[in-house]
Amino acid sequence: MTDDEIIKLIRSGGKAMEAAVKSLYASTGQSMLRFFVYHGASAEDARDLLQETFVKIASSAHTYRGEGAAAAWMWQVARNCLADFFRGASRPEHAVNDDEWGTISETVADTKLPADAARSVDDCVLRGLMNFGRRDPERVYALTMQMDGHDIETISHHIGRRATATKQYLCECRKKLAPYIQHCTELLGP
Amino acid sequence: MLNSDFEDEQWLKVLAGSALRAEPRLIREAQALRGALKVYQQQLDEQTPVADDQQLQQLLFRLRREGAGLRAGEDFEVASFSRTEPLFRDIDRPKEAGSVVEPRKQIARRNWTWGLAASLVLTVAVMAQWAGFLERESEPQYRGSTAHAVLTAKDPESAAAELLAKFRELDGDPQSTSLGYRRFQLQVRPNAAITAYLRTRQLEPVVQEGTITIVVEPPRTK
Repeated sequence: MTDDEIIKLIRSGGKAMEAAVKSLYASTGQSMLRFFVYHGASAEDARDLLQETFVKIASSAHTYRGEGAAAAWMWQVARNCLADFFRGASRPEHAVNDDEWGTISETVADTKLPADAARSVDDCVLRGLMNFGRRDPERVYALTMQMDGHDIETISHHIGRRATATKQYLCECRKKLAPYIQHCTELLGP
Repeated sequence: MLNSDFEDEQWLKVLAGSALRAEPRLIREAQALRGALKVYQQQLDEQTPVADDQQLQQLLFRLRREGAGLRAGEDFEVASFSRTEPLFRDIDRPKEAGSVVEPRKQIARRNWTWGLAASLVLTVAVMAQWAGFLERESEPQYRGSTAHAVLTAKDPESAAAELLAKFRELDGDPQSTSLGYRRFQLQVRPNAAITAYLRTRQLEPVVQEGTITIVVEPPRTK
């Protein structure tokens, strides 16, 4: 069942809607739970967010006018639910703007690791990545999708950007991540 | 650490696991990140719940209860507040579930009206509870004489969803009906497996006209 068919069936209601919801749940449910956890939701909150997302998709399927991919629209609903959730809760970390990036680049790049932490490059990169993930979970989520071999179109649906912008976004991740792992990559040698 | 677009693309390809002829340092950097991402992914995946059948049943139960998707061409959220339409008439609701940005004033106005609506609902709920309390005081309840079993649960939605899923699994062709605030009626076709299951839940099945009826409700407040 394609995403467009799913939305069409959801609109028709009744048993057809239930079948469509089951199909959508099977194809997207786990990815959405993962998306919520990667963005800082607890397991319990992720379950609530998934339910909220599906209820919103079902109740507003008639507002989807077929402009753009159905999957992109459904992921937009998921992102809106996540944004609503974090508006209601106090989020421990926040997205970083360009000015803050400048400051981070200057301070973090010069940070020297304690001797025991630098035992391996892998540990060092992992620590840097975790810090980066706390600061900018969406970029780490996108990099994880890239690592898993998802195509640009799928990644673009999840992060709510056009395909060309997504490619640019992924390339920028290297630059954004650099201050967090630069001291590790020095250990990689010339 | 400024790099050309070409180098960034190579970096992304190595990150995705492609074997490339590229600058060794770039390959080492991307591979180190790939390794770290795998560990990070594993840690987060361990925290991620599984999209299981129980959650699907809860979701379907909620969709049935709220009638979502049944009114094609009608916004569910607007529909559920149709009785208070004059109060909400001036609110510009987001037209699409996909829209993200709402002006601050709009949010404040919406919060204010939600607050008012919540107060009204609370008042009505307290009055209804009080009326129910008075009624229960004057009329003793003989729970054993009713033609249905009652399951009291702190989370009646989940309990009802769980029962529904089990009844389906046991071929009971269950039907659910909302009886008002957090109360649900489940009707199921009896068979030996369902009777045995209900007894494990300390529910004595009463068969009436070929159906077992179970009412799931929250604990009564004193």
